[in-house]
Amino acid sequence: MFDRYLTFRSLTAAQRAHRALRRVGIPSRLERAPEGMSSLGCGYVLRLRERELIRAAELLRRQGIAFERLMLRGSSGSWEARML
Amino acid sequence: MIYFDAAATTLQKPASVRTAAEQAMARLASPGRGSHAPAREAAELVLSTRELAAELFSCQPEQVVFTLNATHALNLAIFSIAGRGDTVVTSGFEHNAVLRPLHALGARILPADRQLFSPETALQGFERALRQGASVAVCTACSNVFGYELPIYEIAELCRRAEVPLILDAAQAAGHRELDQSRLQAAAIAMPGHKGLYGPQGTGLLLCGQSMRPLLYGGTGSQSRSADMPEELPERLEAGTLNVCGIAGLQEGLRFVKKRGAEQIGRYEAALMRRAARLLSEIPELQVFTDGGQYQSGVLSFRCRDLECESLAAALGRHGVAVRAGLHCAPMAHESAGTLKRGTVRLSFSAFNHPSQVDSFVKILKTLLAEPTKEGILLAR
Repeated sequence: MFDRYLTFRSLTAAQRAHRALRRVGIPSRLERAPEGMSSLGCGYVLRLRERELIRAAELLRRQGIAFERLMLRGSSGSWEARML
Repeated sequence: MIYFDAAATTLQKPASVRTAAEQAMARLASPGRGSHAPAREAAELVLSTRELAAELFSCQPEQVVFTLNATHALNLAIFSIAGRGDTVVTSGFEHNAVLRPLHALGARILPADRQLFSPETALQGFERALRQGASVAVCTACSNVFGYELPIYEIAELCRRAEVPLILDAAQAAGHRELDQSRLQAAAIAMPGHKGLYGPQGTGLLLCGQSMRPLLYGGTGSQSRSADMPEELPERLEAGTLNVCGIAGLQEGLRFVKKRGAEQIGRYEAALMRRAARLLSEIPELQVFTDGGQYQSGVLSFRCRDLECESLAAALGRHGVAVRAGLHCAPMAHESAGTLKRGTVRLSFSAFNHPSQVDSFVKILKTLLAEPTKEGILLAR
């Protein structure tokens, strides 16, 4: 399940992250941020599977590609930020 | 037609440039404005063009901002970095794309040097101006009138040591000589897409070495609830829909330059310039502005002692030779070279010109000079 969402403030950063992960074989989906996830509106997310999340985040940090935070849907259905 | 006006825009482009622009018009939508395939594919194209430019100029993709042309890029940089009352050191060979924004801003323009084809003098002038407290430097990498290649790496080093931001006008250098931002560490490098990079008109690039203030405000497809432009580059400086068709063509132009090599292209054009300079120098009526190619790119200016430059260029045009005459939007460069009153006729070469075209041009010119009145060429006053 691609239910882990890394959020990005810019399309360019999200695209670069998507490509960087693809290069090392980590699957992800680049999408516009779902409603209610971004307080500023119109953001971008990479959807990842839980099992690749840590490796993906480490790789992006190493390559200096900035993401904002990790989001996932809580039991109440609302979006919750999680520590990574 | 013999087209020798590449310094204005390259007319002959790789065939793939036109194909890519046409395909983009048929298939691509606005990047970042939707989740559908045409928007996604447009975003992919835009990013891959940024990456290609970043690779060519040794910077990060986020530092590559798409603009309308070099003038747009220079305005962005100048209005961000310079301020009213600042003393701005420039070369003595700047284009109006630099001078007019500085004038509008109310900056004090301090030309570092006035000597053509003399990098040593340029360096001494920049060093002096920086010592005297210039707070910003703006420098052309190559004069659009005379093809004089300024010693930009050394100037950049002087600016770094003085902790003064450098804005580089690479309008006549991009695609003709190596531009390595990792070595230059300029605050900004501005360049057109439609000249030495062989993209369509309406394309340009700004390489940002630091954050900039937007010139345009509007939609970016991101952070839409915020009244401010995003802080992140490149979106911060790219309000409104991008010229996706132009960028598609530019990508192919960049590929062409990458494949041939900017240095290699520059050497080829300079060889054409030297050939033209040698042949023109044999015509006694002409004054040719050349240093033999030591510090000169594929741009060459000349004038006839007795004939008006614009009129001569028009006659050449009637005989199928495209050149540009006058002041070339660079009065400061003409002032430095002592040609402000009458201007010059300029030849500027591209990778698509051939030595045989130079020979044909010289033959046509000699015919015109033999009977200028019959050809309707006005006498210089």
